[in-house]
Amino acid sequence: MILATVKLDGFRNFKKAKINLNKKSLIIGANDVGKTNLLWAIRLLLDRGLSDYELEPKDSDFYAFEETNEFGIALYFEDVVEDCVVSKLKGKIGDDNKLVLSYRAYRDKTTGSKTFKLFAGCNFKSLEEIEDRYYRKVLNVKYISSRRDFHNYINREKGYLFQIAKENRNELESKADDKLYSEIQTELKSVDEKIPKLNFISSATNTINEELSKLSLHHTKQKIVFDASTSNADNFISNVSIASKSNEQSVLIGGDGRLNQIYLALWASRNELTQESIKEVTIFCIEEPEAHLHPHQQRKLADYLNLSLKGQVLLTTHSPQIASEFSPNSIIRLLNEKGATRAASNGCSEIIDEAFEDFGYRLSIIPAEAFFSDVVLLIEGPSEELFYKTLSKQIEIDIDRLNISILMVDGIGFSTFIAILNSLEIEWVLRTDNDIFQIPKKAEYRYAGIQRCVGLCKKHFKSDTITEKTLTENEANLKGFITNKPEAINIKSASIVIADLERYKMYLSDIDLENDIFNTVLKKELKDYFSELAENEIVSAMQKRKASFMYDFLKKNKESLAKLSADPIAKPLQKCKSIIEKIQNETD
Amino acid sequence: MKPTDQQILILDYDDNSVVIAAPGSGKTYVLSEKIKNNLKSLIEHQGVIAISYTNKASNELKNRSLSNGENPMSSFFGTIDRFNLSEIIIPFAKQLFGIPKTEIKVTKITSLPNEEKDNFNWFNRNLSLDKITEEQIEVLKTYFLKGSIMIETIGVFANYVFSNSIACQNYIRSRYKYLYIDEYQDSGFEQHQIFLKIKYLNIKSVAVGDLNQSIYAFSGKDAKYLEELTKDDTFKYFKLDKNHRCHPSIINYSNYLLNPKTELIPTEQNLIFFDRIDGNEKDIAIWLDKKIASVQKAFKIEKRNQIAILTRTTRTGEIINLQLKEPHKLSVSNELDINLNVWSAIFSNLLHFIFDNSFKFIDVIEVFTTYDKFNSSDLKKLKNSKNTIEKIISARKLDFEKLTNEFIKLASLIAPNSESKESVELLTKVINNPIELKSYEPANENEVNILTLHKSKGLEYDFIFHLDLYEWIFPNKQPGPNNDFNNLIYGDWKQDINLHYVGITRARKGCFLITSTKRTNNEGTTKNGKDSEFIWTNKIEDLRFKNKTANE
Repeated sequence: MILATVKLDGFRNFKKAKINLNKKSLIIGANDVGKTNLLWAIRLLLDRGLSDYELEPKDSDFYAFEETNEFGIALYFEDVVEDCVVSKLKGKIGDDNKLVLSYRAYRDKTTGSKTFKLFAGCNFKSLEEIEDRYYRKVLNVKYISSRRDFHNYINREKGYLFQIAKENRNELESKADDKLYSEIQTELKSVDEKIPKLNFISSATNTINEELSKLSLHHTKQKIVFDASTSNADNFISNVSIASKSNEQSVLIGGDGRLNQIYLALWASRNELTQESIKEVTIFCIEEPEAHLHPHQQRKLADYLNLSLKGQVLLTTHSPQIASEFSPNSIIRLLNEKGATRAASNGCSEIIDEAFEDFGYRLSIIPAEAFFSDVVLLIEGPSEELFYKTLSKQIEIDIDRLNISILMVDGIGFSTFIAILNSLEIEWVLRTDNDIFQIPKKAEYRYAGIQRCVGLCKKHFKSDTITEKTLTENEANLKGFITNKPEAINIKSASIVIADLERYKMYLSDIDLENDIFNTVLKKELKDYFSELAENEIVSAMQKRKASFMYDFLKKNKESLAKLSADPIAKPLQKCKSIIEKIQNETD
Repeated sequence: MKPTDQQILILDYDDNSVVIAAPGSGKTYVLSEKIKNNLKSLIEHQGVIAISYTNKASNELKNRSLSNGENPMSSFFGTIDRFNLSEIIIPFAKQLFGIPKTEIKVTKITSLPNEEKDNFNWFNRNLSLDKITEEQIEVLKTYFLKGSIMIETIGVFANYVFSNSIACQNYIRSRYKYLYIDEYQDSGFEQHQIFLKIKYLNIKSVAVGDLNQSIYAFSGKDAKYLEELTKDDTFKYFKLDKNHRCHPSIINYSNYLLNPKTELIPTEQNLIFFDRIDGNEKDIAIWLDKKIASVQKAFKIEKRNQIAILTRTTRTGEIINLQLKEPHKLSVSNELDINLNVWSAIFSNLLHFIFDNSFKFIDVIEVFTTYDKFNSSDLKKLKNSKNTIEKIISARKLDFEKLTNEFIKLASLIAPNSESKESVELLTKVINNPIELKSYEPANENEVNILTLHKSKGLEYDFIFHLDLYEWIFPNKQPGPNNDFNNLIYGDWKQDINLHYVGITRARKGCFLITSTKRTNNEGTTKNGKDSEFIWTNKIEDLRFKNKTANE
């Protein structure tokens, strides 16, 4: 069984949203965009821990930005074949094994009084009202919030752990325990007798007893004592607290990260989550599992949650480490547009085909960081990355504050990233080199860079009459020149197409990064840097050492980059900034 | 109680089987033990289906199966009609036809207004799934969407839904692991189809019955379905043929009745008696008044309610009921008890509650829902209703109208969506009929039971007085065309002999077969009474008690 889709209308931040889920899904989005609200909506119908009182709608549950007096939550389940669920939900599951559970709340316009109704059925049209969430014993959600209290939880769960462990003892172990238990009891008794004998303990009570006897003659036979009360062995034993041992020495249990891991491990075992259960079908919702964890531990945790938990898993996260463990097909990005939150592309969708997966290239965390941005600047390689990051700082475009990521597509290619970013509805800007390559086995050259962009344009954008006209007139001239120096006609066509490509936020260098930088006002600084070289040798020297040159040059000359604010080389960054400003204006 | 060898074989077998069980062979014991065993291996969302012929039998089986406080899990105990309605038709016809406008009510075709009756003139008991047409399904669909199901159509309706709803099959398969149907000799065609369809889902199915106790042919049932199963290789055949209930002479007599070649058990005394009373039914009653005490003494019967007077017709029973002076209780057919509407069941339980101290108020409510479903104001109303009812019944004269109104109020609280005019009508009928009303009182130890042979099925008593053994009546027959007395036409000779067999085998210690020289017919005319052919067939009199005073 899988919870395939959640539909929210008029609920909290969600005016009208459809969110598709996978078996393992990751929910990302800015703070306050509504991730917890989405989980709450699912929990309302499925969490056994939410009482009937929690079902009562509150004014704050109704979408605030329009006159909303009704809201609804609908959960669409597919492939419901588990016996326990089919048996319990008589008549509510269809021939196609689908099930819908729904909650609707109503508010009276005049009196403001609020009511709700629960529904179940085999599809949205056949919903019937049900009296309560009677199915939760066999179909439910288990939830961990981001604010987890480790200490309270462990204290509660201790008793249960001990009980299970006791039951799992074999005969020999049980007998040995019983023997040891009586020894403990005897020893405790003697401790019990000794403590009150401590002089300071016994005398502490003398003062009290003297005063008491002044107050009342009646109870003079009774005396106040301090009692160790360790004599109840059961209580004493169960008061053990969880501790950590390192080389047999007790140490403080560990930092919050360790606590987080222990919490999750305890929770998983407590809920027997790692084994298939035939008695119930559970969906697991965990918020921010990465709390306090070291990056490697975060990845390990994500791995654990994905592989060991048998059942559907929904995570929310702010961590690129966690995100990098998920296929882009399983990432749900919530975004807020004009006051309403929705899921990009309605949630999980088949963005990436198997070709990408087979590539064997596991998304590293750097690309994963891009998922948390509002705009991504796609560039070729490390030199570009160094350059543009430094440039952004110098021309006062604070990429962190503005939520811009600069992403190197080196080795994977633009198209894959564009597909992912489009699906997550993350805006992007692209900068690539205006390469001129020879066509293999021919004595011809082509504008490879421009053609690359034209290809991306055709693949990822809907057709546009202006572009079609431009291409019809100019595309042929982008190739076929016999030397790597294009003719005038080629150059003219190229510049027309390049100008059009900027409408798609694709920018090409004039020649390449090194040449372009050389042709800016930084020529002076470069000549100084390469003082020993002739002017016509500088560019080749730059290209020869690529990234290490860039690093060193920028280290020494970064302030000079400020001069490039209006230079075409900075256009991609300026574009990113204006996109962010546009987004800001829309939400205000 | 330890199982016999025959019983052990059945208990140990865990697959499809058919059990032919003679009277007194411990059938209910075996069924309840099997169910107890099943429950041990089931998980909370799983259960067994246990179908019995009547609600009474169903409650009996349920109580025995859960006698040690076993958890029934998700099991179903009830009649085939209740099963069809609650597990097949109501939940899944909604998927095939759509959701009805109001809560479902079960009515009879015969209760429909005349112009509507025509809508069902195509319906007859023999209409099976392969013969039903699209238009006819449309009629069922139209009424269903209006919230009505005709009780007569339940069988074919259930088969239709089952066959057309994969979701229904998935549901039955997920939830139920075992199926038991009792009294299979009185199965109808539709029940047989459902039985086979469920077995086909790999649910282990067991049919239990006795070919010799098939007595409901008049309502469309047939023992041939049970017989089919005994010949089906996929069902293992078992028999329980040891009668532990009856005195050996009774076993002999009943077996000989069906098969003169039967092997007889050695016995010292024959405890089947026969007497021909001079006069008519009234005289029989006088005779009974004298005989009951002596029988009680001779057979050392502790409680009078262990003695039963069985009649072929309800009319005879009513006459005896009127004339008999000894304390007695007439068992009457009660339409309210068998009506399938929710309100009818609430009213029926309320009547039990009023007259039977062991019936608790919470039993009335908890049949449908649990106490904690009600909010505090509803609980208060329930309590007030209960108090009002108690006041009404403790008053010297029972105010029937007030009682009816209070019952209706209560039913509206418990099941507000199931309001049924028919239920109210049946309730009024019962309340205004002192005999029917009395049937809700628990059996008084002192009262001799009077009931029809049909009603006696499944029951047992220390001693039986078997009446109505008149020629032409039992077995039912009439002369051939042109008053041809040489070619008699029997009503259903096999059914009648089965009925006689059922009657005799109700007795543990002894049985008195009664006939009289005169009898009254339907119109009240007195006719001559002659002995039924059952009395003298194949020299069966040799197996009866031989006494100087016995009339020949």
